[in-house]
Parts: sequence; structure tokens; C-alpha cells
Amino acid sequence: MAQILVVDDDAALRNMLALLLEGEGHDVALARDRHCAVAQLHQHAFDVVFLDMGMPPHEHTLEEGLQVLDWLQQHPRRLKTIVLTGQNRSESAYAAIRHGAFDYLSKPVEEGRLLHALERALLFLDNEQRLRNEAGEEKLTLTLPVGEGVKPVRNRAEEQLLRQVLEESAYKIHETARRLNLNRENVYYLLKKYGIKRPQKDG
Amino acid sequence: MELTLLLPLILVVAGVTLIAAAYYLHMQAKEVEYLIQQLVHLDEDARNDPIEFIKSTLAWMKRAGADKLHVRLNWFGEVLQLGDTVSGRSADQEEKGCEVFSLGEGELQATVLLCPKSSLRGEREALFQVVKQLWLRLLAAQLNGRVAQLHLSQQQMQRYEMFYKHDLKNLAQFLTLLNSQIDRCDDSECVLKLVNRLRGVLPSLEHRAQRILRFLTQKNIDTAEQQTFALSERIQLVARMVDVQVAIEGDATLKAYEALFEQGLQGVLENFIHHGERNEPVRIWIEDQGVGVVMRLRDASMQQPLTAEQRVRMFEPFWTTSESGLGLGLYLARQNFARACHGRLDAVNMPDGGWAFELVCPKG
Repeated sequence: MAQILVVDDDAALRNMLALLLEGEGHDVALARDRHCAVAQLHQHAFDVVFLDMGMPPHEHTLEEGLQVLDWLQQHPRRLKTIVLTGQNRSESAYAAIRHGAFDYLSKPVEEGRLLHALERALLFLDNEQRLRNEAGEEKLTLTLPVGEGVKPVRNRAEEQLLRQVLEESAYKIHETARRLNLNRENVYYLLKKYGIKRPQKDG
Repeated sequence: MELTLLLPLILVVAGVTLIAAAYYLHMQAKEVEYLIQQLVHLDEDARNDPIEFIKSTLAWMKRAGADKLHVRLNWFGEVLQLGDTVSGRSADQEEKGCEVFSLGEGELQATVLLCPKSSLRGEREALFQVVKQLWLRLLAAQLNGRVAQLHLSQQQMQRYEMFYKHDLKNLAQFLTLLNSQIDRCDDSECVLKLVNRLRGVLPSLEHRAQRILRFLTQKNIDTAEQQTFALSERIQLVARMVDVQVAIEGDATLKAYEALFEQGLQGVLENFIHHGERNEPVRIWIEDQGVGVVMRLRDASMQQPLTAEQRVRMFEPFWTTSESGLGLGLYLARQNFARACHGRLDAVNMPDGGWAFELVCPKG
């Protein structure tokens, strides 16, 4: 059973998607816009996010969906994002993949293809988990410019790995240092280097 | 002897005078050339926006020799006064030494009152006439361009198409999933689950469908019977359709073409989705004032008063400050209310410094 977040501004559609996914035995949470989605992502751990790109107040551009994808890159989670959108395919698929989406589906899509995409996302997620548990390896996906040397590549990989471990350890420096096999001073140095700040707790 | 001395002196004075006059005329011509260049540039910058054109060229017209310039714009059913104030007389009543010009037609008309400075004489008056004629022609072109833009703009038509395509794709996706859910359900528990879920989502689905229909057709609802209904209940229904939270005070019954009235309400409430505070409910006050029903709507984002121009432009077709907005919502809402109950939708400044949408529907 997977934890799934459906982000779509169309109430009828997100409910029908929820019904389908619940019927498959998954737990489903709903979000109607970017703010609700980020709030849900803050509070709960999800395996898969179905993300619409056009939502209020920018219903007809990619802006809101891309902001959710960017937020996920800044706050890495062990989840896969499947974009499900009615926006112009060539433009939105390119942007979504560039911003870290795992898969892309164009509305309207048949139930079978939708469930197949979900199955694939969960397969990747499970095997990445296995990779961590059995081989102690982390799979990173980076989008980088080619031709600027290897230093930016190293930095981006270092930053992403650090962000991921920080998120998972709830920003506990000691735990982060232990998991990355670094000393605490190194972690503080990297936090400063990449301008990473501990998130403010609500209330 | 005296004559031989005087003649050269006269010739020198005459020569200097001629040179000075020629220089003066040259400078005047340069000034006019400069003014014309400015007007042409501002005309290009305004891009078929007559209001912007008038505002940006006022100072230049003063420099050209206008003492008073007042424009009354009939702007999609609103009246907007621009330029100098005219005391006690309307723009179409000619004052001494002033001229009145009527430009445009239909939903976009301008009445211009233009008074030259009384000190303008001779060549300066002639040069002012040149600038004036150019300005009037540019303004007429701006008005015509605006009308043409509204009716013919390919870009807006594509945007228009994109709007209903977005809804159509969502609707198609919903139907695809619904169809497969129906196929899957082979026991009563599953059917019950499906029906319960549908019950919750049908209002928003209906809203989507209505929105598509509104784009695709203009139904002649005027031939339908007027209905009497409770306003508060109807607002709640439409608010649920568009997924907007509302807090209503007061109530009244209204006789109107209900489908048109609901479309008008949808247009106003959808405006709050794009421009309002989504975490706060839209507060709505309803008052039955005997001769008519007054409804005011506002939310926490409407704390600053609107300028006269903002109040007018808000209802202009295709004018929007939102990237995702088509700019037709409030324009159509106003038209729908007018047809539904002979009502009038306005944006009004409130005594507390903020503003609200105000709908007045007369009774009877």
C-alpha cells in the first residue's frame, strides 16, 4: 500500500483519481493548489505525487506545478512525482522533467496507463530503497550544464545528498554527520557553503 | 552725410531682425517637430490603450499650447473623466474659444473638450493646430484599434480557446476515470462508494460543464421564465461549485433569470480565486432595501481604495492583472446581472477605506 498525494485544482477529477487509487488499496491525500500541496508534503511522507501543472492563480501556465517541483528539489523526499496535466505537451513535459518529475502523463489518460505509471514509480522507489539498504548507495538525479567542468557536478551532487540526509534526519546535525561519515564541523561548513538553513518550526 | 551713415545702420538692423525672426521660426518648427515625435512615440507605447495614450500625452498637449484639455470616455458602459476638470459644464458643451470633438463609436466613445491658451497668436496658433490635429487623429486610431483588438485579436482567441480546452481535458479525464470505475464496480458496496463520491463532486463538475458551455454557446435564456429565489441559498450553491468559501450576512428574495444570475455570481466569485485571499472567506452582505436588493462582496485583500480608473478598467473586456485570467469574468458578470435582473455590478469604495463589489438589483 502506497501513500499518494493527488494535487489538482479540479475537485471532481482529484476525487475520481482518489477513488481509483483507493480502490487499488492505496492511501490518498488531496490538495487543490500549490500551498495545500506543500502543507501536505510538510506534514506527511508520500511515495508518489500526482501533480497537475496548471492551478490557481495560474491555471493556464506551468508556474504552480513547477513551483511544487522546485520545492521538492529544495526539500528532497523519497518520492516520485508523476505529472498529470492538460497543458501543451511538448512545453510542459520538457519543463516538468527538467524540474525533477519522474514521469509525465497527458490528460486525458486511460486508467490502465495511469496505474502502470504508478506501478513503475513504486518499482523504482522500492528498488532505490533496496539499493540503500543492501548496497548503502544513494541514487541521485541531477540536471546539470555540460561543458563547465566537473566542479559544479561535484558540488550539486554534494548539495543534493546533504539536503536529502538533512530532510530525513529532521535537520539533526549529529545524525546527518553520522550518516554521511563526516564530522559535525564538516556538516556546518557545507551548510554554510550551500546556504542551507534549518527550516523554521511552525508555532 | 547723415543718409550715408543711416542707410547701413538700417540695413544692419533689418538684417539682424530678419535673422532673429528666421531663428525664432526655426526654433518653433523644431519644437513642433519634437512634440510630434513625442506624440508618435507615446502612441506606439500605448498599444491600443486610449486611456494610457490620453494620460501620457496630456503634458505634451499643454506644452503645445492647450490651456484646458478634458476627455470624457464612455468605456464599456462606464464613464471615465480624464484631464482637466471642467467646472459646471460638461465636456460636450462648448466653452468660449474651446472646441468639442466626438470620436469613436459603440462601447468606446470619447468626447474631447480642447481649449487653446488665449495668448496663442499667429504662427504659434498655427503650430498648435498642427499638433492638435495629429493628437485627435492618434486618439481616434487608438479607439478604433482598441475595438479591432477586442474583436479580432488572434492571440486572445487562442487564449480563449486554451481556457475551455483546459476544462474540456479535465472533464474528459474525469469521464474516462468514471467510466472505468463503473466497469469495475460489481458489488453494492463499490457502487455506494462511487455514488457517495459523485455526490460530493457533482457541483464542481456542473460548474466546469457550465463554464465550457458558456464559452462555446451564448444561450438565449431571456426567453425563459423569471424565478423567485432566496439569494443566500443561491450564493452558497454557486460558491460550492467554484470552491470558494463564503460568509453571508442577511438575505433577500429576488426575482430574476436564475441561470444568468448564477453565471454572474460565478464570474464575481471566480475573480476572488485569482485575486483574493484564498485562505479567508469572501464576506457577503445582503440587504433588501424595499425598492431593490443590494449585495456587497469583499475579502481581506480589498483594504485599499480603488482609483476611478481601476474601477472602470476592472469591467473592461480582456483587461486583466492576472496571468491566468482571460479578463472577461467581470465584464460578462456585469452583462449577466444586467440581463438577469436589470442589475448593476460595480466596484465601490467603502467608508472604511477599502472597496467592495456591489450588485444592485431593482425590484419590479
